[in-house]
Amino acid sequence: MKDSYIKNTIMNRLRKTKLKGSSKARRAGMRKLRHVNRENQRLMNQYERTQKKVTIKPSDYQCEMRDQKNVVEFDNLQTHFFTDMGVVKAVDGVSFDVPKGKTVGVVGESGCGKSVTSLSLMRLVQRPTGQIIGGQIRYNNGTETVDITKVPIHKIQKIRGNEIAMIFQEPMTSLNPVFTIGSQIDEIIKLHNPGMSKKAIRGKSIEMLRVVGIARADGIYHSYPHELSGGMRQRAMIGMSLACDPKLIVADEPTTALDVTIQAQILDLLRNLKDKVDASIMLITHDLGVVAEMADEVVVMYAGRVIEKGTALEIFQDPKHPYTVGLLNSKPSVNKSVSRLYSIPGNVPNPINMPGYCYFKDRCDKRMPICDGDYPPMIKISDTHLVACWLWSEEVLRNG
Amino acid sequence: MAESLIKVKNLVKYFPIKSGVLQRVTGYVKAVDDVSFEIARGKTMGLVGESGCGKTTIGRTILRLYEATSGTVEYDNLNLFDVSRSELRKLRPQIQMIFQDPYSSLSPRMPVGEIIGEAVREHRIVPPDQYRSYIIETMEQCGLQKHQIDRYPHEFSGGQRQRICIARAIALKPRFIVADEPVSALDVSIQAQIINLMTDLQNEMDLTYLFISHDLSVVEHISDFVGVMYLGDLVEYGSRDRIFAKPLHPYTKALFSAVPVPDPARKMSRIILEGDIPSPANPPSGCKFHTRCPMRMPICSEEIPQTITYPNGHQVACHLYTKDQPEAGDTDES
Amino acid sequence: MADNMKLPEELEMPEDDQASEQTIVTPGQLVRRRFVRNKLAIIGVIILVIMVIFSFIGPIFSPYGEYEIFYRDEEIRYIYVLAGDQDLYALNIADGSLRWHLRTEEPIVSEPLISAETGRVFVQLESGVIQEFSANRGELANEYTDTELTSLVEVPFTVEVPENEELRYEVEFGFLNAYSLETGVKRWDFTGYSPVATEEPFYDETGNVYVVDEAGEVYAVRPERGVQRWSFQTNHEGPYLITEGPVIIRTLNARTPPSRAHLLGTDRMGLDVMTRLMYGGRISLMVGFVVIIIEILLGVILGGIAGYYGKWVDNLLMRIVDVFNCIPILPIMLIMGSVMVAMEIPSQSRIYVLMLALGLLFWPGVARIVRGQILSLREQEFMVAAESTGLKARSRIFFHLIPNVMPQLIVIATLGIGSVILLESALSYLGMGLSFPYASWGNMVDAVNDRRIMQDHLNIWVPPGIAILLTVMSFNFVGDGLRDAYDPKMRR
Repeated sequence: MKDSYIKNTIMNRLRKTKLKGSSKARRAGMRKLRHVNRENQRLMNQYERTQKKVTIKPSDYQCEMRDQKNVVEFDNLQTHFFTDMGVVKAVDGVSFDVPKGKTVGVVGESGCGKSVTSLSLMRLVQRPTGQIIGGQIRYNNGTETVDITKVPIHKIQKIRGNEIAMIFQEPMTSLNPVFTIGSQIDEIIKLHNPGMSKKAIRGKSIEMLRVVGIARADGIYHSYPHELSGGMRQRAMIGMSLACDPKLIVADEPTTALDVTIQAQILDLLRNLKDKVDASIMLITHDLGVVAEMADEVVVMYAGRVIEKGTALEIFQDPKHPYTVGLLNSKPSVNKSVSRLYSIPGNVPNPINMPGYCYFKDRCDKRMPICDGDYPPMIKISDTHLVACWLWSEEVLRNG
Repeated sequence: MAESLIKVKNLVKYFPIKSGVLQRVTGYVKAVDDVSFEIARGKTMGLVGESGCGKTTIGRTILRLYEATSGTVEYDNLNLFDVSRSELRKLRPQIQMIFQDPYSSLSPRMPVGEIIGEAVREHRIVPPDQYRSYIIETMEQCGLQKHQIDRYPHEFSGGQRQRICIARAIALKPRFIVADEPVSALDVSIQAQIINLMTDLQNEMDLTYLFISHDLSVVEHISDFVGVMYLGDLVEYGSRDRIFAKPLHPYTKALFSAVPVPDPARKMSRIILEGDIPSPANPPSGCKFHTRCPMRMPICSEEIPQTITYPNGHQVACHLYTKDQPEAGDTDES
Repeated sequence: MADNMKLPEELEMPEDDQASEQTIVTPGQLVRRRFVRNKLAIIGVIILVIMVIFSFIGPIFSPYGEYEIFYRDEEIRYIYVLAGDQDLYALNIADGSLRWHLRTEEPIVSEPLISAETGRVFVQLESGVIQEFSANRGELANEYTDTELTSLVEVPFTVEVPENEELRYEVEFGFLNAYSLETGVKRWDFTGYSPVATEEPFYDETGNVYVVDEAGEVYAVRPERGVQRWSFQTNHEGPYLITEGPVIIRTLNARTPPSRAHLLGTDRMGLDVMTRLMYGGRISLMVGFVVIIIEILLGVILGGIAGYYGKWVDNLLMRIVDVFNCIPILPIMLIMGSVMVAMEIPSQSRIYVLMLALGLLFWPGVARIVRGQILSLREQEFMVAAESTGLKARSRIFFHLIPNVMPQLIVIATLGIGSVILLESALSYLGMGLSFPYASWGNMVDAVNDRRIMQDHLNIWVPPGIAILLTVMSFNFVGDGLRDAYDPKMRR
């Protein structure tokens, strides 16, 4: 009886394999993989070669800011990944600015390219599969303006961590587990101020920990990362990133791994810090609530493109793009009961082989014949509010 | 209250902490500490709390994936902790689970049809000749397309994977589903789809849910009753409307106010709790919340508060309230 | 509904007729793709395929057997000394060692006559009988009567004495004196332990001079300085007669350089290196595979039990693993080797014992990895899901656990074969593996123990060495390639 059970199950599985044996589809899969591979290898080598160029003259990477009030300007940034399944256009023509002293929230769902945008800014995109293949990231540190995508590695290493600090989602992975919190902050301060005495460095580290609201700063100074709770770690991480007076803090999902009550603490801290330090914050998150609380300006991304940007009030109170509208509606909110949630139908499109038309068209409930055409350009609603949707183009508005 | 499908009584689950060479038990993580509640047939109970509060442990203990330390769970007036392993296996299809991580909850080396159908075949839910069509039917019911039956999980996005998980659960024609953070790992637009799917299925199949989540807004949307947990204790329990309209426990209040609202114009007065959640291995004395409570009194650190049940079913465990005192919510509304 | 069962093609048809929907990519295909992209791994696979073909199919085409010993005929010279008239000694010209000695029943009346063709020795006895002796052993081959010695030996062997331009030898007062022909000056003299008794010294093609002293000691003297090459004591009184004859002897065709007949030459036992390389590969690869299969079987079963059931079973099994890890493998194998020798286990069966022993000694490593893997898989949500759907333990193990442990196992196995082959070589080298006449790569490399072979006969030990190197390296390449293919993130 028992044997027959096993036999049956195995037979069933065998039969399944046979059913599945539409070997044509599988062979086609194999062929596709092979083709994609060859193409990828060629492109990857090509970009790697330009990366490895030895001599880069300052004139090659210096450039002019469009607006001196900005710290960073993303201009038509394109970052692609050459994967086994095909080319993933993770970031495909993204443009937005991070003004001095402001917080810019970048929202979008997973896979929309928001993290890749920040990694491109740090030049931390995983090579050789990931490559910045076009566009500019202009960065102004006060003395000169450089194009991050072109600066040599030794220079980016100076910018990274010093002028642009990063806060990650999971602080445990970005803190070194074998050093104490204090020594890790010390190291950064020492790097930044080579002449400083040991005692002064220590003093500053402890001060940094106090700034981020750690009460027992002396004790925490001597603790190892694993001895701290998630919230504490994130505080320490923030303190660390503030230690070298960055021009820009890139916070990639800083509160996603935390509990709600701890998240509230951290957001409160970040809000207070913003007034104290003179740095811009680029806040990357999927949580609309967090963005609404923190950001001055909001950039909404979808499938590797910016689909709408504007001030926080504009985006949250008067969203124009059907995706932004859908996103806001599909989030149930406390004390606002609806019988059925609004949901955007379908899934985020496969990032490989994106169509030529608006990427959101297939999920959009407002699609029109014009949507079958080209990808919509950024249309100005107000000076600050831009949206990439045909709904707001002049001709559609004119025709009603 | 309608007839209860699930009755949890004084459920306790301690995980032993072993240390040293001899693996001696040196202490216990009190994951669930004397929790009781009931879920009526066809209703949804939401269980909220922060990480480490024991909400997942409750879910898994009810399914006997963990053996409870003490207490009982009655399913349809049958104590689940009394049935033998083989009986339990026969009962399994009726009580299903949906997991948080749609990536690790699907075996990567099995096609979708097999993932969904394996247990259907094992429990002979449908006659063999209808097997394949039944799988396809279930898939379509969950918003999957029938040509996807031979695909492997790696080809699906998170939302679709969660649909597969749901299809695997409902293919067994269950009556009760424990959904353990089913939408936490998903994007907002997909969350809404999954929540809608779950409510649709509940209406179609008369399902009873235990919906575990840390996301209050989701819980509020889907639940009929809500339990709030803190460090293994059920600190507050009541109908959704009551809990959200008039939360009693200071922790519940703080939790609600901590949720960020996607509206930059609305500036709420926020209760920000101090400090971190204590370790459940070494919880504070008295009321476990007293270390972070903004309204703590001397008695809080000394005495464990009794659970008070108000006539309208609202339960709370806090020294701020006494049985005689008329419930704050009642007086306000009347 | 039944139609659905019968027409799977129909089911394949996607509802939205997108072309990309037609292609199904299985996890296996992705792995294969990533593997194929790894050039080193592909080189490894090619080398392994070549090795397997070479070892398992090669012997069919090899003209020689595994333990076919090759000989060659070699002509050397013997010095024959007729001492008195009845004793004939045959001495090796090179070192003066006695090859044979015979005593005829009657006195010999003739000089020994040696056939140039066969090297046989003919002597005429007093009675007129002619006796013919074999050159190799000095056995009586024939007896002739009523014939002439000269008619029997058509071409007698004669020493072609070189025209000695330099020296002239004379025996004077028990000394052998050599005078320069040109100047007449004495260059050297020689005497044995007793005074030289030979009147007319005998010298051969090479110029060596042979004399006998009064005590019957035969000396071979070098012409250059008059020093003794060797001496041999006969136990008979003179007169002595010295002559020389050719002998054809069969020797092992050992340590020959590569040639047409033997592509890699022959080893010191006169065996064809190429053929043995093939058979050796058979053994080495087979040992690798069999040991790994034993290892994996034991490891998966015990590790699986430990990981799946946990608690005291796990504890017990892991302590057993610890005990096994404490066993020093080399000493144990050395002891086993000598036990096997003592028990006179035949050489063929020793290899099976070896395989079993290695398999038994190595399973703990596999068990530990499998256990760890299962412990982590057990916590995965899909295992919890499988449990909560009420699947039987058996199907949980066979259809959920094992397929997910498989990649790890394949990698361990591939990397493991390489190390087993190495270990087998080491053991064979130490003499515990397969022993002569059976070949394995390890015992072929063993030849380097001989200094001369190590220096001068690279063809004997380098090929098996390279074979081991290539095979083990290829297994490692393939193993690494598989690991990267299964888990692309590991590489970073």
